[in-house]
Amino acid sequence: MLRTQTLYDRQIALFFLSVVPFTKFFTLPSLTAGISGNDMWISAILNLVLDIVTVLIVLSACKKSNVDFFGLIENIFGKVGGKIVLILYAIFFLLKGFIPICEQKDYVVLTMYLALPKIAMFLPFFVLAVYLCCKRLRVIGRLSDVLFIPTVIGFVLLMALTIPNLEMGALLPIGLSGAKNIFKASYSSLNWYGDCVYLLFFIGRFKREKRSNLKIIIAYIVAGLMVVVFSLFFYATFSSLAFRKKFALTEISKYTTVINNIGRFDFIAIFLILFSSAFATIMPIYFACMLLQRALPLKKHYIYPLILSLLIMILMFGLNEYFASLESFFTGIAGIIFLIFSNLLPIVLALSTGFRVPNNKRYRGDKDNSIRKRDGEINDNVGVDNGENFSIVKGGKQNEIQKD
Amino acid sequence: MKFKKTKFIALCLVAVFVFFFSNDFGIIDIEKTAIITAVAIDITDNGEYEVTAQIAVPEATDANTENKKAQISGTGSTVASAVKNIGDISGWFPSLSFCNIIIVGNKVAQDNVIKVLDYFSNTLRMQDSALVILSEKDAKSVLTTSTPLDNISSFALQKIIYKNPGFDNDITHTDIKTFCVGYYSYTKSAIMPMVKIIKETEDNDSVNGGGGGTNSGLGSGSASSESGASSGGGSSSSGGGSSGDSSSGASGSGNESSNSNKGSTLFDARTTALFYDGKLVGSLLPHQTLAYNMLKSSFAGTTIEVTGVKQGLKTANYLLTAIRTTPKIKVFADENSVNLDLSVNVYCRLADENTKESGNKYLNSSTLPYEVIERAEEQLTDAFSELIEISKQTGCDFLELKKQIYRHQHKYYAKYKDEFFNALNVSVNVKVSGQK
Repeated sequence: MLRTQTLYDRQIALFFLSVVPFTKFFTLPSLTAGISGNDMWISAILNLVLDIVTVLIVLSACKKSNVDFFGLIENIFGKVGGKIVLILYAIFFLLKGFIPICEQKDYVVLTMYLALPKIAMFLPFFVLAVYLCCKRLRVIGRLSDVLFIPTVIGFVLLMALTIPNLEMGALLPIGLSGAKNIFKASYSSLNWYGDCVYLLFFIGRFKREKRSNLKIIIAYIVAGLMVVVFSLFFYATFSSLAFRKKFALTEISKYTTVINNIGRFDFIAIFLILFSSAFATIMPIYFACMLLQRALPLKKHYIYPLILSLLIMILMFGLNEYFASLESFFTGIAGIIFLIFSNLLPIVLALSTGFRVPNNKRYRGDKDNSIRKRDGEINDNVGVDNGENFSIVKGGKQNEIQKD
Repeated sequence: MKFKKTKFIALCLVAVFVFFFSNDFGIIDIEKTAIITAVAIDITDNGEYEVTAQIAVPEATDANTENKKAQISGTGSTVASAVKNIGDISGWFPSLSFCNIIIVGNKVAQDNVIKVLDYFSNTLRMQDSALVILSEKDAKSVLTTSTPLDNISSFALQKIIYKNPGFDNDITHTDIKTFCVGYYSYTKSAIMPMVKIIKETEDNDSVNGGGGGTNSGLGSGSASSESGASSGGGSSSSGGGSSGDSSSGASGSGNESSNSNKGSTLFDARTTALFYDGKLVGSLLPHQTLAYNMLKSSFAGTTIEVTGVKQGLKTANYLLTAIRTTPKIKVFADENSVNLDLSVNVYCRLADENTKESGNKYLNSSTLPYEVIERAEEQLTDAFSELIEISKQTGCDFLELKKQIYRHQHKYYAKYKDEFFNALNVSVNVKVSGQK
């Protein structure tokens, strides 16, 4: 059995299944439908192909990795340069997380609190965010095991309720909106996609088995297909109205006769999906905290979660009136930022280094460089020796991670 | 200590989830809430929208089994402001979550009806799966009419429109989403059922709706309730024949013990209103609605009246029950024209006939006489031809013919979209069969 701070490949696969699809079920379908119309599903496929290619390259290139993401950055850019890169990545994650959090806020406040829609209703989300961001990576692994079940049940139930009202002919003719609009919709969606970047944090931190890469890739593909199926069903349900249906998640299943007769029991599925998406939305804050803790370590590990959650909350409240402008920024020029940090940089890092650093050049760090000074927490470098023993360098001391 | 801390955190987490995933903060006082079951929209003489809400008043008693209701009207320059005014003048928060019917007044439909429906399509306060109905006259009168079926007239309307399996499929139904999808599509065409209030004579105050017989006969003359039904469609019913007194699509209102309405009233929703670009451009008569349903929805169990069957020197009427219908609408375009190939196979069973010697023909295994088959095919062919003719005259593509070209032969769509119906060559082929 591995030491508790490491993950299993199964957990990473389930992580992607539980995290990748659900942030894309809120306002993204209407956004892409507004640009590429009945070809919105092609735009989704393009985004997913980009992500899957990134996952493939990173996983393939890192088969013999002997260093994790933090170690690699520090080895390439040095101590100060590495910190700057990590801070930049943290900013990227905050940007990546902002719009999905805002749209989830809108969803919860506007669809569930119709009588009194107040932003304060969403405050508990940030309590959950602070709590989760204080947890270690292995907790995320365990969480993935748990989230997988509601994820699958919720998605299957929702799609099953949608099927009777589908008019798949609405998707025809294929390619009508033109390549320009299809690519434009893909570009505008970059904020929501690019979850492959999370893989960087798992490199060197999970036990590689015979078919680890295959499991992770298949999970990512399945998660991607869930998004494509949702896009197809969404357009087949609303066709010419799709671009106006801001909250696809609530709207898509309610036209079934059984819902008309019995009531909105589809909210069971919606709640299950919301359960997963709440965690999925927190993930960018989580990794931003991890990056900042690594770049600028603090003794109190809850400080960064608190600061970042408060920051997002204040920005969300403060910029509420400017949301339309923000959305236009995030779906416009900011797309380049998401493309670079989510896809291009991981590919370049993986291809150029293979997450492998020569032992004689390995940057060891020092005591100040250790991240969370708690027992069992991963520190500077996590290496793999012949695929058998993991070694951790902690403050210059090497501990063996034993494997059963 | 650590265990207590963990328990405390777990409890906090549970509390967070309860707040996050529940609507406890959204609780509102039921006494101050108007549960709107239906909304009627009219335009006043000064051009304002008048929204009448039918409100179910919940009572904490089981002494009275009848639903209590109230009707409150509000006016405003937009539909939303009129709804708001209902709350202002009543003190009730107008909750539209349970509103299942929107009735549009005829005057509203003369202008672009999307001006009023767009609000209901966009708002999250109401399900856009609510039915949309056009009133023959003003919408408010539909809500204020009492029926013996239910004290709340909108519930009675729902009974007519949402029929259980086994009833005749002689009414179209459209919800807000479907109507808006049609309006915003490239065909700009949409339909909705038109409801009429039929006042019967005072001495005939029995309930006639339901099983009083059927008047869904294709090619039969219009029912007594049909006066002035067809507007602008230019359609004419083909064939002659008898007309029933009531219909399966009509809800009766007569022996109201608890109500002061002496005269009977009927709701008839078998007429279908046609909209192009949001405006009312015509309507389908009941027998045309039946033909439309035969093409577009599940038709099994619906009865077809075949009238004027000549058997020697006599004429007789038959009632057939459709067991299976297989409609096929194929539209294909070429450089010169658009061709429509409409074929329907109907497998029927004899349900009734008005000949003197019926013998054992009521048996399921009885074969359909040749004359009946021939006459039924003739009536159905006429009805389908009428549908296409109405489509041509109104421009409302309710048969979704353009859609087929748009989706499957898009290269011809630009060529024919403006003169689609002029370029249409129609071939109708109906085959009726029974036990062989």
